[in-house]
Amino acid sequence: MIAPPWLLSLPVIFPLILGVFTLLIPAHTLKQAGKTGAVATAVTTLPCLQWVWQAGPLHQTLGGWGAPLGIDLYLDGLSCLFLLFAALTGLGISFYATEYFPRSAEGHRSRTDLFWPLWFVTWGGINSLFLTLDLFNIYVTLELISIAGTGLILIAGTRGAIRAALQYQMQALIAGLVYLLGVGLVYNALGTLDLQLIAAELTPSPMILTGLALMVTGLIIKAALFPVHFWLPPAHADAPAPVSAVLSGLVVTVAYVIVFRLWFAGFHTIAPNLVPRLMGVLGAVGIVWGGILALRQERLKRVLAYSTVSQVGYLFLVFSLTLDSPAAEGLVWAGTVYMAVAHGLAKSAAFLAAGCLQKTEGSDTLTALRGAALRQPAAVIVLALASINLIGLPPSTGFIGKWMLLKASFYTRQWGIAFVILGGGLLAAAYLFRVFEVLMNPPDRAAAPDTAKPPLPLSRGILFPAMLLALATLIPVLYITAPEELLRIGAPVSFSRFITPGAAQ
Amino acid sequence: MLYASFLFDLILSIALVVLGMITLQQKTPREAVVQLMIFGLLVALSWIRIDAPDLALTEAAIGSGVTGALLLAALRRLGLNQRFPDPAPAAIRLPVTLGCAALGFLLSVILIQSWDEPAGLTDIVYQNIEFSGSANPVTAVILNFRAFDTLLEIGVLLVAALSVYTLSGPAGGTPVRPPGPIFNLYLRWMTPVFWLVTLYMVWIGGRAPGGAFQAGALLSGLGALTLLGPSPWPMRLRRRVVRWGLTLGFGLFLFAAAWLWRYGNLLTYPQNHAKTWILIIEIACTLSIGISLTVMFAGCAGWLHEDPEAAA
Repeated sequence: MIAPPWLLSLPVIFPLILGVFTLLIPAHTLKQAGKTGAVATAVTTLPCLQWVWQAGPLHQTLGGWGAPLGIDLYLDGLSCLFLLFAALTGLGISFYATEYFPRSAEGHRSRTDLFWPLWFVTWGGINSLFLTLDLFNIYVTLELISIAGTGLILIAGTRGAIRAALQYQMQALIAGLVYLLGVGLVYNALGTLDLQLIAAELTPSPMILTGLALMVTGLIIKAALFPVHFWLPPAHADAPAPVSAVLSGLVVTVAYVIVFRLWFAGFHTIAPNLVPRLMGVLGAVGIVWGGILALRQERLKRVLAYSTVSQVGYLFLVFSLTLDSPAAEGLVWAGTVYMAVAHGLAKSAAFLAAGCLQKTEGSDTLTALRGAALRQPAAVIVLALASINLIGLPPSTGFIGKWMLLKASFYTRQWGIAFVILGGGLLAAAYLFRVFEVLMNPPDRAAAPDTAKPPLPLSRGILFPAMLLALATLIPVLYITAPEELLRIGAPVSFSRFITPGAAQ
Repeated sequence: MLYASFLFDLILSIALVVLGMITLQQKTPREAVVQLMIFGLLVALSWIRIDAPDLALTEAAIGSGVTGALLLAALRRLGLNQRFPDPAPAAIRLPVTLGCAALGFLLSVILIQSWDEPAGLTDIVYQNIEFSGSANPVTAVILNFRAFDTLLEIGVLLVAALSVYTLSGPAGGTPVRPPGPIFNLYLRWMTPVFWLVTLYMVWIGGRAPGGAFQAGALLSGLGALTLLGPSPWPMRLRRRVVRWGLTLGFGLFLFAAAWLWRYGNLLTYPQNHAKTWILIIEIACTLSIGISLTVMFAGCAGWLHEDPEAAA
């Protein structure tokens, strides 16, 4: 069977074309184009799924040159799962955005119309990052999505958003340069930029080790691991809601997935043990630190942004957990993927719901949202469904992932990490219940006599996509074997034990 | 002879470090920008020293010229005589300085210690260059071997120009001081020369240092000069026209990518026609790069308004 030449590049090129298209068409047709385009972009990932399911991993050479001269794309179960994840999240965000941004008058383009070109270009970049094998290409694509991200934050047009965008751009610049410096060293030492060729020749020489360290450092800044997370809360909290969902649900995940892929492609074979230990410790500290700060925020979107800092911490435990016990390797690896997907879906849904609350109540401060559950029950239900994942309660994907990590940490006797995983869940429960306590209590009439605001008209269907994203996190519970088998295709780790919770006892 | 060139490199390296420090020490942003432009020229000189004339051209045009113009335009809008706000506290500056110094030291030690002839891809590039449609190895890499990178890079420029667009404020930026007769005469005489050199730059990129990025930067120089001149006609263009101009390069590149799927994987040029495809893409990209950078210049100077289409 020969793969069609467009198979892997279509999910990248198609959204980019849509980016150009939505920039040029008349403004009043944008919403229709946004919806149709999002569905079509999501559909472009399906041939990839079909191929990987039937024929296994696929390698395609762009321009017909092949590494090391050209750039290669590579599809395996992991990248396919994340392509589907981006498709689902992107679909939800796009449908939400068509209702969230005000409709433009005919013949006049407003600032918010730029959401569509910037968002489709970001989507294409995200898909590209899941597929590319080329270290320099990763740099170019990261630049593309971080500059598009800056533009997306700026759409809000507020003073706070401009400051947040500047900060976001600064971190992106620094992180990008640090990563690029690392790529330069690795290229200098090995003479190739292709990940698979590099993985075959890795030796622990000072130049390669420094290069890898710089690359990982740059990516860690972009993934907002503690203590380089400082840029994230303002950027994610001050952007418009659909943009917060893109940045917190997708962009952070992408940066993390690159570290994850580089690490298991071969970095783990030469890195001194100190490195994974350090990443694990920083992850653990991040879980607690992000959680404590989330507990102290006075704005809903800030709570969610600090929650991202905390949740990203879990994803970095994998490096120290796989260190000690190869037998639990597959368990931890898959558990982390589940955590990443669950967090991406749940956090997008939560930000979309928060955006609704912010619009209807006029503000997202917790005092303004008091009693909002009475007025906006649907938004609060979406928030609750997302919270189940963030806390890690059954029957969510977040629970499955956390359960696998917990089991592995018992298995490898890393009691400290087990303690942090459990404590982090409690902390998440604390900062989210604090929000729900406010949302569900009726307004205190004595303290605030005139809290009755005229509700802003929001289209009835606006929360439907957010609800869908939140519900999607429950799919694996119903049908765990499919994502698991997908993940096994071309996986770099061995699944010596069956990884479904409960089956290994 | 060897000795002389070693001495030159040594002076250049020291000058770079010293100039970098001087730039950081400036009291006002304007002085710092001017120092930065000089710094960019010295960096361009060092690219020449390591036999990378393409990079040197780009560095001089974009790293020094365009960046400097953008920064000065932005400063003009903010008030030229501003001083830097109070320096960051030593608790921040010290660790940053030490961190950078440590990284620099580490890199120097590693590069000096384990330096043997870098593996690189030079040989394999020269083996394949005859099939690439370009006799200039740099153009062959940028527009054929790694055309996917360049496609995304052109996308970066478009997105950056769009981000500047999102910031465009209400009408009424700082009025431009009327230019003198000498400037007007210069502009009138130089406009065709700029166009000629731009086109030459694109064309020569197929054989010698040159190409879309350098040519586009040059074109944006003309764009900025025109904006400063007596008849800033690009300002009066409809936004729709500007948008088409901005997307021309990226759009055509994407179209080529989709069209070429019939010949193989992404951006596989048909045999014997690679040169034509590369030239068409390069010309479109040159125009778009020129327009993007001009839009950024206008945006930095506060001349982008939210009006035209509604008015037109």
